[in-house]
Amino acid sequence: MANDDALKQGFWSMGQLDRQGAESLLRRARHFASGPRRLDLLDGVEIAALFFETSTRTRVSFEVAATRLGAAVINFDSKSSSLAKGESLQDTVETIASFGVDGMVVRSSAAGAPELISRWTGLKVVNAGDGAHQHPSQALLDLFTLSERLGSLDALSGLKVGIVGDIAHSRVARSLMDGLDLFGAETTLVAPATLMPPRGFAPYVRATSDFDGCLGDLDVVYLLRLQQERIGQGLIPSFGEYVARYSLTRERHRRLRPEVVIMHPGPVYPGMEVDSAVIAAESSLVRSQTRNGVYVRMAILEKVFGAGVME
Amino acid sequence: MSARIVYKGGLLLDRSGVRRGDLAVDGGSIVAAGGEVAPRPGDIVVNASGGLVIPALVDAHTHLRVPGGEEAETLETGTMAAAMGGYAAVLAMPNTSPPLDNPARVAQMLAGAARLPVRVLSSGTITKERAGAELSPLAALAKAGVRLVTDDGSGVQDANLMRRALQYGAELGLVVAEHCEVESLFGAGVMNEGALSAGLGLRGIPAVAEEVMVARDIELARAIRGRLHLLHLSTGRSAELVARAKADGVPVTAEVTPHHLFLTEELLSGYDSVYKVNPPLRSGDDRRRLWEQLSQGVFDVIGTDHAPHPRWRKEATLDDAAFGMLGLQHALAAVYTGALGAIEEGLVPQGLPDAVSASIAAAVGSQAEAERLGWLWRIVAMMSWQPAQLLGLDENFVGRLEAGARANVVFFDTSAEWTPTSNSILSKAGNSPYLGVGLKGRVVDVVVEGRRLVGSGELIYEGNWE
Repeated sequence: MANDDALKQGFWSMGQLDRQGAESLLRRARHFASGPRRLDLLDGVEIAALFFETSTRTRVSFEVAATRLGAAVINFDSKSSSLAKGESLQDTVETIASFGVDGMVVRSSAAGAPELISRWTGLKVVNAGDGAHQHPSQALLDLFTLSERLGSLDALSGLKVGIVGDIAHSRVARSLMDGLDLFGAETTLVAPATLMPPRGFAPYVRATSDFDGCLGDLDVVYLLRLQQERIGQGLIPSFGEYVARYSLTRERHRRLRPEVVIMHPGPVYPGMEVDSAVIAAESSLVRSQTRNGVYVRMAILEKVFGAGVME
Repeated sequence: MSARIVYKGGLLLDRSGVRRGDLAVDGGSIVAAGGEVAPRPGDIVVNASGGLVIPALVDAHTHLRVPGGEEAETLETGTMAAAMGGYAAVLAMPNTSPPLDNPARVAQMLAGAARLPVRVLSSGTITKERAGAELSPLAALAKAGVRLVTDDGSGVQDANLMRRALQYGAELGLVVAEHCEVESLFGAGVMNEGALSAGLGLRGIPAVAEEVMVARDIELARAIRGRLHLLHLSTGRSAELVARAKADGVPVTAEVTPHHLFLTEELLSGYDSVYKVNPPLRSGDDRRRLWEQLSQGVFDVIGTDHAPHPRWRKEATLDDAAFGMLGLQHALAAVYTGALGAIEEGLVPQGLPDAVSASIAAAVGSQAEAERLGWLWRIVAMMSWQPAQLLGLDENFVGRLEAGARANVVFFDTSAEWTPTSNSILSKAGNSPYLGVGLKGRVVDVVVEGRRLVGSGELIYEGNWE
């Protein structure tokens, strides 16, 4: 019950969920994974999809999820909109709200945008990624994928997960850390100091700059995408040096224990964060992550926009 | 013949100390202070028994936004907010559009403010167009009455240009005031860098972005003996650098703002851009260290950095919103409320002049009461006669509550507890961080140059702005 209240205004951050709330969403996602493709649970609901940043997998999987639930999706193209002509974000979202839609799915480069848009419009807003803040649907699909592989959510307890790469700029890392913590997994952040957030922001995780030193301890290696601009910002000297220290190369892959799984939120930049052969290996869950996105997003949309859940 | 105004039964606090007594103003002057003043028929009598009668305040850091920013503030609305806050004079900051970088622009702005009941002083920029490349005509600005120059809004990035400004300005008697910010360290930050910014996914502004320039400028002033003033210092380390420099005899003065003394970064947790300000609100530890240094007398001035913005510049994501918050109207109450917090943390003002401490001991009974008055004395000094001195105002303007001094007087009701609401904001803009915040102490009555601008906590508009 507390959980229903938690997502009353929308779903912005993993911080809104307790373990019970996350479990209930993941249970529902499992139901959708095995259920019929066409449902009418959100029949008559209109959801505006506002993607102010480019996205393929997240946008399309939200759209597929909404369509399967019977909701209508109104797509907003930020490049051809008045936003490109200097209209403010507030004006833009208030305009769309005035058309009477029931809610929004928002992707933005600005941290906090979903929460602010909800405050400005009074509508429910689902976060599809906001700046370096949160990407909660990604975290849930990652938890879903892990539990699918391990057989249960309980198996996450004590699991040693290394999140490797550009932690400082990663909304995926922030949401996933929160999600893993709910289920008792132990997270280690792996990054050079320049790509690590300031000390103390998440006291419950460990942090190291030594990937090689912790390889043998990990059950899960979760690789983050590295943006080209980090070199120009002086955060790393070169891609070559990054690959040498932090890429999951074939050589490093061989040093992992055999049961270790590899994850990546996509899109993968082969040869950078991870060797292309490793991504294709049996231990890689990347394809499952993408597929499961639809089921988890169905559960999220149903929870936020539905009249009530029948379990 | 205007009516006399008589403040009855309060404590008088001025640069010489604290004493019990009444105070009367008549026309533009104080005519009696201390002892008992018997009201005459026709006098306006203000019951001051709940608080303090103090010299009016002077703000050495006001963004009046004229010219170019009249959507946010006008000279009229800015001075109305100032009067409500107890200010008799404000220094207009020069980062306007176009900037106040030459005598003609300064004269034009001042001409617009001449008829207003609060005195408006002008600063000028250090560099032409505030572009950080070439010096403004500093001698011509000084001749036009400018006493303080600053590129506020931006720091002077070029160390050699800052060195030249200190050298050239010193012989003109100019105070060179630095907005301490190394732009390459500041980056695209929107709030204090730390655990909180990391969790919120917001780009951080590291403390060193300020501290590195504080250290650089102190060393420049040490080498040149130029007259350096450091604006709105926000970190504990910055304050400690100033303390060290002063101990070494470097000619430097420093400012701190009410919001850095009263508010902390946790307010950004809801992504509300009213709390986006530059320098950013810092950690609780920084705030405590600012108060520590303030208790030691390290800061010279509390300046508001009153920074009005129209709604659309603030109703935006933190990435997009403008930096800055209102300050004039609630500055004294915010600082006083903060000081009461500092007392609870066991901080006691150090180094008050002996005569001031003695006068406080004579005026009140308890030790606790004496500590509170000691804090009030230090605060009022930093908000009234010390900024007046920085700006070269006449000694008679504020600071002495004595017969013959100018009638610039405020009644500050220290017993008031109140919560500002949005409809009480007199600025044209509404971006105040104090709305809905419980404050202690309230400016209730204000006389500037003999004109009563605020009575019973209400602005007296007729006859003053009209």
